[in-house]
Amino acid sequence: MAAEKISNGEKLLRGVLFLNTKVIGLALGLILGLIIFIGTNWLVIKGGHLTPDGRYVVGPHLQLLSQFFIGYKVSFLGSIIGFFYGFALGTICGSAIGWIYNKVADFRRG
Amino acid sequence: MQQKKIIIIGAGPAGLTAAYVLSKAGVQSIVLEKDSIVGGLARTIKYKGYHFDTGGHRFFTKVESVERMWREILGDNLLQRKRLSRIYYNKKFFYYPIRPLNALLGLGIWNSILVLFSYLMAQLFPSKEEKTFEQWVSNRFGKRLFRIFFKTYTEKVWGISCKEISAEWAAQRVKGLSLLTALKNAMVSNRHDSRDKKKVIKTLIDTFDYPKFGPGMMWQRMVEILQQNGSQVYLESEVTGIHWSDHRVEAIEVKRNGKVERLCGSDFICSTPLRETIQRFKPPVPQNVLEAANDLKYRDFLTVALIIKKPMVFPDTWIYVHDPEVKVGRIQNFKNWSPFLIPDPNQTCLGLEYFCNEGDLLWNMPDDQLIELGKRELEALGLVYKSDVQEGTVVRMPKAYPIYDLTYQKSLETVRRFLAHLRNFQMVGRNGMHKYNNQDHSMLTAMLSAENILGANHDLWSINVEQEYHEEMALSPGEITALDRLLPAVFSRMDQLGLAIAVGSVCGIILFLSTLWLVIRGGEISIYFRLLNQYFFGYTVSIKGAFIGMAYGFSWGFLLGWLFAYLRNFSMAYYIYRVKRKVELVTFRDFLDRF
Repeated sequence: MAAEKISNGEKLLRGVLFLNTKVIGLALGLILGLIIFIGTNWLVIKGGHLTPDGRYVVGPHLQLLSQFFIGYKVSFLGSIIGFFYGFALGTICGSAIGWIYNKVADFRRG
Repeated sequence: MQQKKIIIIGAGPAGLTAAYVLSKAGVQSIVLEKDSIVGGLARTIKYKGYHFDTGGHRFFTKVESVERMWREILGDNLLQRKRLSRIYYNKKFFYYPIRPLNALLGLGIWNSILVLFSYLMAQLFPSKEEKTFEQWVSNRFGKRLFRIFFKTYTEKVWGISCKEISAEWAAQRVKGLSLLTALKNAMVSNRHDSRDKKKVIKTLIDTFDYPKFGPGMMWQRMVEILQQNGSQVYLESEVTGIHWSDHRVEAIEVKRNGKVERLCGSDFICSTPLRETIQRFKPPVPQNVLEAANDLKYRDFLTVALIIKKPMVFPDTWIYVHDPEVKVGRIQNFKNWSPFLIPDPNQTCLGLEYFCNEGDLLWNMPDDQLIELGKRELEALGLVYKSDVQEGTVVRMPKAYPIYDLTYQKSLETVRRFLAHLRNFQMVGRNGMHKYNNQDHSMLTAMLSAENILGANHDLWSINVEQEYHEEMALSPGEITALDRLLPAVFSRMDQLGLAIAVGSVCGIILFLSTLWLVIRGGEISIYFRLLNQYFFGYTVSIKGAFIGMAYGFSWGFLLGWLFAYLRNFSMAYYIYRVKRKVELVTFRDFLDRF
């Protein structure tokens, strides 16, 4: 009995981990979405600065994300839009990583 | 049910427990005992009003049904006693289980430094080979601690060098825990309040229950109850033959009062040593089974009980004697087990335990010489003067310990396979199963064997030390199932190449698509994106650059993915290693108590 259980334990160590694509996607989506949401709001709270030509600018570098995420702005509303973009991108990337990983691991396991 | 005729061979804890369970269910049985006294290895010897235990049997269990039975039979006669046991080495006492500070102080500064150094050396440069008991312990505690606290006593108990005892044996003695159990326990330990758990464990170690007049009281009382309920217990009845045919035991031959009788039965429970039991089968068992049974070995011991003319000798319940100068292995102080064992409060009774083999010099030594040896050794140890010893007696206990040698597992398996074909014959108890069952686990196997006769279907061989560990964990079956399902998902190895390719591919595609997007749409961010060529030589925001970026993205992603998987696997492996080590150490804590 004990010997059988030990070999089960060894089997556990020799086994390969498979990822749950939905969970990985959801996790990465939430992380990326929250990073953009918090990052944007942090800049909004911190406030911006006046440019030499008299414009008031908040987070000019993060604003560049709007090149990819159409409609995104460094503002509270923008942070919500950014969250959805980040969530979507993270979910796609996470799921893709999980899916490719599982295919390779399955292939290598034979 | 009443048509069943149950015959139980052996009136030790296992045999009597089986009869008791059956009797409670209204089924009578016949119990046969070779000796003139019941209790088997847990008997109590009476000598001139003194009672003494053979080996020292703490009534200490985590099996609820066994605890209930003890209380049911003994009631108020079960005393709660404080435990104090120490190792006696080099004329000094060391607490056992070992307390690090006490051990270091007792060893002296210089010795302590050497012990610490030896421990560090063992941690940094462990012996690569772990084939022997010596290597196994030294790798965990250092060579010096091994020599002081494990070598001499283990060699006294088993009569062979620690270099000849397999490491596997040590691993089994620390409960042979499977990796899965260790991990489950680690997870549960994190959940429970560790302070509460430690407190419970400490209480379990520091106190134990003990019958007022020794363990024999329990078995004697059980015999009385059995007889009141209609069961029969025959003493001095030796089973000389077991008749079997067609996967059933038909009858047994019993030698009583100089006559051989034949007793037929419907079901048989047997707790006598497995080797002798197999030898008694008529017709003989297949040759390979007989050879396997003959390969099972035992270690015996004898107790020299000495009555001392002093009210107090030492405060311990028992002492482990690690001094290589004397032959005695353990000294029981019966008065500290229960004051009722000693009729005169101004006297003390010590039991000097010598481990030996039936037929060797020590075993065959006349009683008066053994008593003299005991007196001499007590004086040499500085515990009692010879002149303080009033008198003594000797009790020999054959087959006290089944030996776990290099071949026993294979032999036991062969015997078990044969026994599995006998539908109405069950082996129980320590010697019946050739297993280091303590009294409680012997009783548990007997309870389950009785339940099997009443219609249950328990596998008695699965009652082992792991069960005890599960009891400590106090998990519900649902939790165990959930952990069984979850653990592989958590601790399995991550495929490093798989994750490297997956992360690499995603990173490559992201960089490719974002570059392509900028090529099509243009915009201010292109200036910043171009800066990537500071790291990715040749990268530009162009179609060609998109492909170059994809290659770079893949390479870096590949590297990061591989590194992540490697570190994750490494940390999991380290965690598992730590859990196994911790469990080994925790279960090794009472290593000496198990002989």
